[in-house]
Amino acid sequence: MAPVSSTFVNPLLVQRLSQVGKKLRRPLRLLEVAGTRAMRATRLSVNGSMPSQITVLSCLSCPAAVSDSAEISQLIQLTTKPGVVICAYPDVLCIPDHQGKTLLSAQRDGALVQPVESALQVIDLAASNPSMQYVFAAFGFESSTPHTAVAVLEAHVRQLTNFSVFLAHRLVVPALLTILSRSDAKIDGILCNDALPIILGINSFRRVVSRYSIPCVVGGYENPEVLETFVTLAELAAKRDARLVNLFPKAITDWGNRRAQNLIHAVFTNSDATWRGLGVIPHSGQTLRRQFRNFDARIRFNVQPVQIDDCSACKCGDVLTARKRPGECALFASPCSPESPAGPCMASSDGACNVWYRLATDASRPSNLQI
Amino acid sequence: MSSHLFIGKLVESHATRAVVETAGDRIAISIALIPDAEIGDEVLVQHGFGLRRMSEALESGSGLGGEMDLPPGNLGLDL
Repeated sequence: MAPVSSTFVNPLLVQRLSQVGKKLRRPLRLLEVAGTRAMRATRLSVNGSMPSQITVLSCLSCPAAVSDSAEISQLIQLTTKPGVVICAYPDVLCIPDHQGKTLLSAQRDGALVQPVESALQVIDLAASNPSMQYVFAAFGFESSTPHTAVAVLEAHVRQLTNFSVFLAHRLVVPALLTILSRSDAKIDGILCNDALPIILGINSFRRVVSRYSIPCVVGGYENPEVLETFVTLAELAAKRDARLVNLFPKAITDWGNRRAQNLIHAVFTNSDATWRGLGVIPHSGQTLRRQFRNFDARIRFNVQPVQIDDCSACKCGDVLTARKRPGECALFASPCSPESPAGPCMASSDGACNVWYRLATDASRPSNLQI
Repeated sequence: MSSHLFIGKLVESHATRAVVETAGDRIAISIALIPDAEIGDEVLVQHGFGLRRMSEALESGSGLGGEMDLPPGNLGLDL
């Protein structure tokens, strides 16, 4: 496991954080939305200066992990169809279903599974190999959904009959509002260092700020920017200053990428979706509009629903929804590890448990680092 | 999936397909989401797609980015 390298830490930011801690007379609970990988560097960067009153929680860390494990089972079911190639981002390949099977294990058993880095890569594969059926496992939040929209439109224009999508996209804001509405949530501020606000715009979080009167800070994804986002949020939350702050105006704008949003709207319509740890949330998923339903892999291949009776000790659902921190799961680190994951939060390199595990085992981490 | 974001400089462009340079590597991307991107622009890239022209966001202030006559897609935001 490669250690997390330490980064230059702006001493002024650490000083500001220290000042927050000195004046704080109550605990603060700050919620990171997506972008867990970015927070890993922040946790190390503060070099043990994190005030003890501040608890950092993560939610919705990995879009593949938040999906119901039935969807992974259905994808594995699809691999048994002759002539079908399942194409997915590398992290999706590692996500286990309720029986511990993954697309990777299916591939080892002879299934046709192709890692891809882009939805358009699947289009190119389909165009080059007309005798095979290429199914794109479309996971992701709104920063990824436009990619699938573009791929579907391109397939439509090129009349590709051997391309389809297994849709598992999710919408973050409905899930975030559900998480915050829990009486035990008690969140004092949220931050996001992810591509999400680049597509949605900072105004997508305005509803959260006004409904819950908590600050929200969005920022860049590089280590110094992530630290600044965190420190700014801590300062605002300590003062109960419910402000919406954009620290990355070079990339994040008020309304986001409108072309991307319009493409999503042109290809998809909102639908109810099942979330790990949250159940069904209305209007939180995406389905293809009628004119593109021929690209729906579930319809094309008559994918059957899968009933899950998940009684495992894995607490991924609680971790994804900020009910628990990774270390509070009885399986964390023993036996659950990146080499032997019990659930998606450990299996995915973006998952909170995976990130926290690497923090905990990083030889360069400060001895008093709060995990 | 890897959420790796990076900034690349646009060096080639053919319709919606383009090539960016970053850290000495040349990477093929789609600019379908940023069709106004031009050679020389710095673009933010994820999963093989350009998400934002870095200079455009600053120039436009509120980042309206064109197509303002179309309503925003309904992404559960109720704005």
